[in-house]
Amino acid sequence: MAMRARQKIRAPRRGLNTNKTDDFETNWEGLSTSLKKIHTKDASNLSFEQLYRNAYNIVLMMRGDELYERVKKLEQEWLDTEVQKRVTAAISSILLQAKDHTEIQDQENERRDTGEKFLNVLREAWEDHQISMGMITDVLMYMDRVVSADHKKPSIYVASMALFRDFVLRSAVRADTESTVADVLKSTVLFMIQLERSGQMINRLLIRHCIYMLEGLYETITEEESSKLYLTMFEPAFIETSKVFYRAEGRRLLETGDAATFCKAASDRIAEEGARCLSTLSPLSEPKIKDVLDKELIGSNIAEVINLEGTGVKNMLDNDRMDVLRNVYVLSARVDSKKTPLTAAVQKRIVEMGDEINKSAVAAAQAQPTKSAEKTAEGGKKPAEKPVNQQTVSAIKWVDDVLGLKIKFDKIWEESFRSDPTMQSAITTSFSEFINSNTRSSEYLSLFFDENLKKGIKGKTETEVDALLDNGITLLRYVKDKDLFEAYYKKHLSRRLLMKRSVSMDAERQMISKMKMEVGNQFTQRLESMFKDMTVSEDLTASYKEHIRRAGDPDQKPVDLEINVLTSTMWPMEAMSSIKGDDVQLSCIFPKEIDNLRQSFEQFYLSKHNGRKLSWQASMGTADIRATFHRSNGKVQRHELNVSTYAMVILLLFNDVPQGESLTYEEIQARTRIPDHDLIRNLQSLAVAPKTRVLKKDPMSKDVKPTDRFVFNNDFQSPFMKVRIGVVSGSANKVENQDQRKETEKRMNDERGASIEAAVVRIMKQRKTLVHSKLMSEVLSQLSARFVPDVNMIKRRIESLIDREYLERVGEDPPTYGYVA
Amino acid sequence: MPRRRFLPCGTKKLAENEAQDTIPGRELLEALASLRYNPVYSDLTILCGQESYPVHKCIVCTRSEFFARACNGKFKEASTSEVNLDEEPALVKQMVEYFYTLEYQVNTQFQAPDGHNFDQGNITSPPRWEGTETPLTQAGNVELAESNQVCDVPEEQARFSDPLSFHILMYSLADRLLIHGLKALSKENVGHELIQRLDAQSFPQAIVEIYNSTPENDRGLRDLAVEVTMDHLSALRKAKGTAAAALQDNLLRSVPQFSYDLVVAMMNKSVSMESRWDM
Repeated sequence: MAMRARQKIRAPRRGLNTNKTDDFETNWEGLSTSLKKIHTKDASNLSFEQLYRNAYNIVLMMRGDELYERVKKLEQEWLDTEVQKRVTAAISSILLQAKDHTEIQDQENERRDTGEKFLNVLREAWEDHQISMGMITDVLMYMDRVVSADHKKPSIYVASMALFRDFVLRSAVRADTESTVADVLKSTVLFMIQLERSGQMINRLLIRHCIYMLEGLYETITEEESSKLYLTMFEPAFIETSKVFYRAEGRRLLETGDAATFCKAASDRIAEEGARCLSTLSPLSEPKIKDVLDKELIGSNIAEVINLEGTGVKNMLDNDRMDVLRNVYVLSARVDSKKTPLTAAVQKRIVEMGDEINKSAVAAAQAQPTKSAEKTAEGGKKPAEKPVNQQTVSAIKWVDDVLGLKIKFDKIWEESFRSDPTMQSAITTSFSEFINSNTRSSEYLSLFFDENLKKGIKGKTETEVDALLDNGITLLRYVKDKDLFEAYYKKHLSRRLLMKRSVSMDAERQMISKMKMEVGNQFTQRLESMFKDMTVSEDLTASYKEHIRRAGDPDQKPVDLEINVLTSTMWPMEAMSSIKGDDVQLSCIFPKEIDNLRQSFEQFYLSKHNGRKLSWQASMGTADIRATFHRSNGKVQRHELNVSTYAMVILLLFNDVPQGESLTYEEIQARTRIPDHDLIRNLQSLAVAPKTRVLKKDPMSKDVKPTDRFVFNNDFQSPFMKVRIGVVSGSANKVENQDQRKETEKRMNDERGASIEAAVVRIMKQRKTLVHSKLMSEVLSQLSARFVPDVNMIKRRIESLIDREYLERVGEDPPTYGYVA
Repeated sequence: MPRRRFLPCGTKKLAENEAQDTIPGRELLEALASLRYNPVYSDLTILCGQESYPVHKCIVCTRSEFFARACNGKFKEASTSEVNLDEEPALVKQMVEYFYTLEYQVNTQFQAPDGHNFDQGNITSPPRWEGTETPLTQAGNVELAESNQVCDVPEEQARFSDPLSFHILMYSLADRLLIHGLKALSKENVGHELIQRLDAQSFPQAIVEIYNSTPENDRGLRDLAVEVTMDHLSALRKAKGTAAAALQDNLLRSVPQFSYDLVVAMMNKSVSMESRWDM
């Protein structure tokens, strides 16, 4: 029977399949009583191993699903009866009352106390449930692995959490009401938040724990992040009540009428809500509540706050309230990346303050005519110069004021606006606006440089000079008509160079290189060639002296010549000579000695540079002459006179005039051909100015008239050996008068016309044909670095170029031009 | 309790290891092995039958989710630091062995009267199951449906001295207590053993044990059993001389889940063969 015996199959000891049902019930019996003990916190004597084995045995019997369902049912019963009752019992009727916000104080306290009690009970129920389910999950670990292995069922833990949601949170509080526990939770928490917002202390930790519960529960069994009960059930109501609150808060704060208070309160609220999300609610709400603040509290009020009369941004700017401005900026930046209301307010104030500076400069300019009227009557040098100086002073004051304003706003920008690029460009635009609204800004700025390069930088250190020039350059950045500035700068520079008025050539060069960096090479080219002419002239003077020494003509009294040969296209000739209009200028007749010298130099020069033409600018030179005065008492007094070239020419005439005899104005003019304007001014300084009266005039009056007669004044007195005789209003750089200004503008227009034509031709030569609008925009962009061209002027120039057959019209719709080679 | 320093799993292997002192990790492995049965530093006791094993949570709980939960929960085990396992003592002993040495042996001398004779385990000794064959052939507890837990002592001894049975039950234990490494090791051992035991006595018994000792969804040994059956189908069905065929029809009747698995495997094989011919 061995064979038969071998066929017998012996059952293993474990996992016996007999009496399955009985076994299941036995195992379940043990399990279910233990699970209940776990819930009643009576688990310390339960053996984990035993419970685990019970559950394992059931699973091994392939009845895991049944176990799962039984546990679920057990949990549901537990929650539905025990837990639900405990929680609803803690809800007092006051918590169920409609949430009207007009509660009286003592009710508020009562509501808070009962609310906290309820929250405590709910929190405890939730935490107990979590702990119990943690233990039960451990026991049912093997079941979970089998039953939820195919993911058809959630783990028993997840399932029991959903049960808590449905049978505790969503259960009705009373039979007669529709309010659920969750509703009461929501309204209680919102009530607490409201309390805290009105400045009372609340139990943050307690609320945070209840919120943890809502964060740990989900609408769906798959537990997507977005289905957290916190997000679906609580947050919308929280956001909604916050909206209402901050709408009212905004109105309330506005009513206080103080912008600083508003900004402080708003900043505090922002911090407070951020902290609330972290400590009391959920970080999930942080961005949303910030949106509410931005929209309801800040966004809808900030413009009004900024423009509040008396306390708004205007006031803050005027009083340099950096901290408040920073608040305003931070708040504005939150709601609007362009910060429109703030930039508008800042810009408005800059333009207002700039206009004031402009106005005071204009006022100073208008004060001048009345004083200059006196000048002619008095006929003295001093009073003549004073008002002129005053105006120059006011020009420099304008620059200083603008710089002061700039520094003020730079500081505000840096400290309060966090160096925001948007704010910077807004500030720049406004500066540019008011600076360019002053038609004389270019001239004033150039005068500022002139003044400083002549006197201002004396005794200053290199860094100070550097900072000073940099400040000026900053303003240059704002000036739109750079060509106009260049014209003035050239004019002023030429005077400084020719009359040696510059304090430091280093500073001058530094200035040029700064401008080069700021405005470009093209801009400074001509200025640099002016410097070059000056150095070349120095060499020239030296080599001419050498030439004369070698030629050695002992007969003649040597006249020292210091010459500056200027390239006419680079220097502002028109500004240096006083010729008006298109009058044919006859050159001044030099006295014989001087004329010899002139011829000698011309010979020398032309031998070096064949084909060049020298034209002599007598109006710009100076001369040192030795004058001998025969006193009536027979004594002889000598003085060295430093005079203008014209004055020298005039005085030399008197060498040929016998003692005591006179020359009339007309005679002088006929013999010298000095232009009227210059002649009058020179005679004024020689015969009218009290301290330099080398000539006597008959009649004695301030004005020089063609009929006046002049006689050499042998009684000239001066305490000094050397006497400098300046020309009335001829040597100093100062603000132009109306006529000069018109002149400058006219020249400017001509120059601009030429620039425009050059640009048009350059563009057309490259493009061959181009549509009108395209041509316009290219011209504008090419020239914008130098000036802002007038559109009509461009049109006229194009017409003119067509007339002169540089261009032709090749199309009408759209209007198109072609280049004529 | 005798203190053992070295891995008991074959003296030959041990000698090799000693020759190479520089094997990385050896120091740590030896240190762990030295802690076995060593109450020093022990913070947990595993109780089983008459035995108690002082063990270390850091070794046991990190390898077994069951022990981890037992020790970290709020149940009795956590407060007493004792885990009482209602299991076969021989299996538990070898489980502890595995925790410290990554090996276990089939206990050939089972539960010696003194209860302390642990040094006898050695896989190199000739299998004793042949010697205990006699009780198996005894009539009485033959039919699967009729058998129950009440097993007589000789049979118990027989079952746990049969290496195949031992490995299968070790697998079951490892699965229940969620010890993954031990599960993998015992599965490997079952595989080796099963292939050599394709006879009418061992094979059906192994199949029944496999299908009874693990839940349905644990495929480890079930897939292995089906695979071995498929690979050696003709050998299993053929009677060899006087010996009966290992795989007889009544096995399929008494273990329906095995039959089901087998049918599915066969269909899949046949279908894939056909489609291969079609190509």
